[in-house]
Amino acid sequence: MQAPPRVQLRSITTYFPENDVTANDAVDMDIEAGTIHALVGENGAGKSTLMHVLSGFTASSAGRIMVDGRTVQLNAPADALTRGIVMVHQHPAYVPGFRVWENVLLGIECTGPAKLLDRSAAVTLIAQTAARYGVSIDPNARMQRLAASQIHFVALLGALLRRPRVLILDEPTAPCTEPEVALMFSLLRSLKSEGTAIVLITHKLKEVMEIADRVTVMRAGAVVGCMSLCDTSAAQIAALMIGEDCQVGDFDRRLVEALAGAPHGGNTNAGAVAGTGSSAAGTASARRSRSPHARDTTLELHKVTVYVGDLAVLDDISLSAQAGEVLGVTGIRENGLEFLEDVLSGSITPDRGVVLLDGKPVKRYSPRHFRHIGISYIPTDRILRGASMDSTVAENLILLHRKELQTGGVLRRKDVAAFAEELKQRYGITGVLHQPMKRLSGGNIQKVILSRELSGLRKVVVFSEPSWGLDLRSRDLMYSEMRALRDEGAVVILISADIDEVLGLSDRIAVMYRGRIAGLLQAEQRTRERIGEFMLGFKERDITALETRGSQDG
Amino acid sequence: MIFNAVEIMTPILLAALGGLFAERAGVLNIALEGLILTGAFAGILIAAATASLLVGMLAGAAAGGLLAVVFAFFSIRLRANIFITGLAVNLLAAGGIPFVSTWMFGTKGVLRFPQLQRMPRLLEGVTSGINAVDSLLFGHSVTVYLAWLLTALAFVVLYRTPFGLRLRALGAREESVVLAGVDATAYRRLAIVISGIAAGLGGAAISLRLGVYLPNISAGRGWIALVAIYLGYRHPFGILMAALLFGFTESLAGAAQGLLAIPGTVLLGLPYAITVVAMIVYSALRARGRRHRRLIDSHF
Amino acid sequence: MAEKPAASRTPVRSRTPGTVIALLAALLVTVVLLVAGSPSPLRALRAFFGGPFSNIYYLGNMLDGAGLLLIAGLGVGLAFRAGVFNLGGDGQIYISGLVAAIVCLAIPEAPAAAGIVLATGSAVLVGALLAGVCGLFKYLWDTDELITSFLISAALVPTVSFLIAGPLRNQQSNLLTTVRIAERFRLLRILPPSNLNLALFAALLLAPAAYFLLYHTVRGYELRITGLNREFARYGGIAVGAYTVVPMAISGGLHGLTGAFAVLGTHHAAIEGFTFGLGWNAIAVALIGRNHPLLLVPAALVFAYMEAGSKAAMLHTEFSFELASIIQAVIFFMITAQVALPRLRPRLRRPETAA
Repeated sequence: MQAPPRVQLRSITTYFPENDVTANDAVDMDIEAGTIHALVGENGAGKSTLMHVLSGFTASSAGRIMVDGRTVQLNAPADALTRGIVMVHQHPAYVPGFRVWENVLLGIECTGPAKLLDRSAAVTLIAQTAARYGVSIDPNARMQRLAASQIHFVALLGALLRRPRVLILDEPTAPCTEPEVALMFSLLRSLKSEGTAIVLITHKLKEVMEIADRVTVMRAGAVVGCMSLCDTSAAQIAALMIGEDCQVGDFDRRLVEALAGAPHGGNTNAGAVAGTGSSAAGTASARRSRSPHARDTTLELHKVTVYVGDLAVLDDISLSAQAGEVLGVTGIRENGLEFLEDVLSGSITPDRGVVLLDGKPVKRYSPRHFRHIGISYIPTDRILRGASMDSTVAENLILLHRKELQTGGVLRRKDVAAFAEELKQRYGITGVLHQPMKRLSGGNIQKVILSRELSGLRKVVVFSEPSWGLDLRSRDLMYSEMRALRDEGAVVILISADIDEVLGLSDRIAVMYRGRIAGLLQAEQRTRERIGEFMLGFKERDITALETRGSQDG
Repeated sequence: MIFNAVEIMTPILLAALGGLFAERAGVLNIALEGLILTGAFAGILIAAATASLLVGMLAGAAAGGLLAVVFAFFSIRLRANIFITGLAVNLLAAGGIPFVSTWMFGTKGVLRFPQLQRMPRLLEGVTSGINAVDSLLFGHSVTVYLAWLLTALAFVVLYRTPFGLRLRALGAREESVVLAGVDATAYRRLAIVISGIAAGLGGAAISLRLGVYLPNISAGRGWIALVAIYLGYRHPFGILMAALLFGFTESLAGAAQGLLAIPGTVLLGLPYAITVVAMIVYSALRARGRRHRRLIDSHF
Repeated sequence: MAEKPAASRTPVRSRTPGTVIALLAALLVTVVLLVAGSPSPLRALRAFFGGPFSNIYYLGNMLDGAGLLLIAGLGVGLAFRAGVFNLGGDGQIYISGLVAAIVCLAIPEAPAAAGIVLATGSAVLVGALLAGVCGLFKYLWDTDELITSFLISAALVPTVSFLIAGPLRNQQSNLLTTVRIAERFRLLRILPPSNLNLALFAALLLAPAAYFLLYHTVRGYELRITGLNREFARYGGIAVGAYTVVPMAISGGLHGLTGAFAVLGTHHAAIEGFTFGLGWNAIAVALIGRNHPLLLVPAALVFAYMEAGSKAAMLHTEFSFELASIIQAVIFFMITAQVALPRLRPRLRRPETAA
């Protein structure tokens, strides 16, 4: 009588022999038509992998997938697509040189006579679909000109054009502003009413509470709970995510409480982050010696401008940060944060303006020189820039100390091992030192990077998106290290698109919009809403006023 | 001299067009040299056996395509390193052809086929009144016009068909086509085979025009073609220009040889020298004013 | 227009199953070709397998070949480790060999040690220069060093052949060769009448030296890190440019040394085409030895054995030297193949990073 669930996953097990990880361990899950099903869990819990299996992107080692009650073999994304299973990935893959229409219709091209591409038909089709769901996208725009959130909408549009029966979204709201989140959610609701089964992978409990009908919680590769939203609370979900049996730090508890108590309020959350700071920092800084010159360190950017072609991706940026403070820089992605990261790490040379350390302009813009003068840097891209995945863990750890661990050019094996072991112990890195880095989990990779960078001079430390993809425990460690640095007198610069993170950790916050500093907020001025206004450029006219005020205060 | 340049450029153009398909699918095909050699040998062999230039051309294309299938099997299916397998193709051609030649004709040297008919010429006697234009456009071997036709065809296929769209997407961002449900390996394999067919055709164009097979008749044209792809900005019409440029330089050098009395042996290295200079100049020009390129790429 | 950066190449590496299968396949192809092409297959096979050990002459020549292969193979492998590809090795050996011969012929009266050092030194320098400039172009303008190194060698090889066969030719000889170098410059022969000479010891010293450099020194550490992840190396303050240019130069230098030893130790003159594909074989050796300096020693021996075997067997067949390039081709096809690890579909991203 009753139709079977649209998708049934049975005993799905996904094992990766190359890094000995069981990402999914006999997972069962039902996905019903016309529902929004949230899939939540910490990092590495196996959410994305499970959905990669369902979308044919990753092979499972065992288990069965049924669509409409019938067992199916999904060997490639193509197999899933023919059954109406479409996934929008966390970072949608697009072709940089292509236009929107070429990208969206890749694989389902509109063709005219003689099987040639029909551009006008494609453009019309996309414009119509976009209009139907209230999305404004120019089908002729070039992909690389789009903002990150627009790229997500383009990917979503591409998914819709494939007429999904099951739509899987992996962290779709990550780069979106609040109005864009609202738009996306109304779009999802209308899809739901059309009978589409929707799976929403997310970290944000707030969103789960707002939009989901059902929620499945994963931990360590297994499903630990599956319930209807009316039968649960945010606190219960959060508890399931973290696991009662695990050792949870004080910070985690408070964060969980904050999240559970006020699912819609970012401020409370941020307050919790800031509130636990001093106690954790006290113990952390006691362990370490202070940098000799740290007290008087200042890092300053003076009228820094960087052009790409004619476009100023960094436009006349002036900022300064003092010893013993955390300067947060936030903004929506593609508004210059990534170029600021590159300037602050010496990776690119500004076209105009200078970076000054302790009032003196830096001599050269190269990562080598920046390291030499004491600027450490934790990069956004951990796989390509932050680590050498084919080298051993130990080789990754000693990068900055290679010169101290040698005598006459020869590395002292014992000292290398001891040094690596010490960092491993101090930061609780799980993994074998002489194994390749690629065997480590994402959280441990970030710990390796963090421990290496903090083993350096610690005069200035630039963190770029440090907690991206980390679970709560690893975040806790990261935040307490950051506060310890501040308390011992280092200059800490936190570049992050995550407002809550910046709010919770920074002493002052600079907000970037289209390559400029749109606003510089002191501790007492800041709220989510004000930052949001600057991020979106509503207050661009106030820049000069704010800048002068900011520099006077600083 | 213009006339010669156009004739010289044709095999380069054909091989480069084929190489372009591989390049656009994300494969730097360093096997072009061996594929040309194979096409040249098979082409003239079959043409002589069947007394048909057309069959010879087809055989050259087929031989190149077949060797490319082997190449694709190892590099794509068995996921072997594409440069090492590319070397293998070149070495196989360099070692295998003399082997076959010795076995069939008792020599690994020059093979003459006097009974072979000459390559027909088209538009002979047509004139526009301007000498340079005439020698550029009219009276060439039929392969010249075939190559021009294929240039236009390559453009249409790459830029106006779903196949071309997917191929270009594959080379630029593999994930994007895989997620769109396209079998990336099949496309890549096909691109390699296309490059084999085109290079084989180019090889046959060399040997059938001359009517003889010489050892190492390809004389570095595969490598020149590879560089022509970049010089032509990875676009069929750009490649046409780049191939023409190489044709000119070579025919110019041929003319200079007599004047300067450079020994013939030394001149064998000239195409390589011209190519490497072109490549270095090209990359130096490209690198100017592109300070942020690497980083910008990573941000988009 | 989007361009594929030349630096996006994956490191060249072989895997154990591929290595074994490649060697077996090469052996099989050799045997098949010998049997098919020989009027007396059994004798050809016996010559192939037993030939290299049948007398001191063959044995010594095999070991001599192994030594040269080892030095050149170290050159290839070191470049691979740094993430650069020197494809002009064969030409570099040839050109440097001629340079060594010319130096020896220019100063016939010089003291032995001075002459040897000068000849070897100039050969190494020329080799280093030929490959080093390719590294420099790559560093300056991102010019693909794989193509430039091949093309530069290919452009110069005909000139070397012309010099050997023309202006520098020994008119008394039937071969296309230069005049033989003075007796005192020739490296001491170890197993006369074979070609084996002191160069083998040099090779056997170089392998552990290269191992020590790569795995026990800061420079080696920096070189390997640069080879594995250029961006990470730059981020870590390693002078990436230096590790593009210097390994190429060292690679060329080792090829130059090979050329010098081939002339001073093996041939005592520059003969036209005396490398017989030595540079290409060195790539095969580096791959068989997985770019590991110590594993290169057995790899060079195995390869030299196969080479010597096929030369010995050649006396009983109708073919000549092309068998060598067919063996190379077979090895190159198989060596990096991932035969034992068939994957039905590519997994593009690791689970943790995708989460």
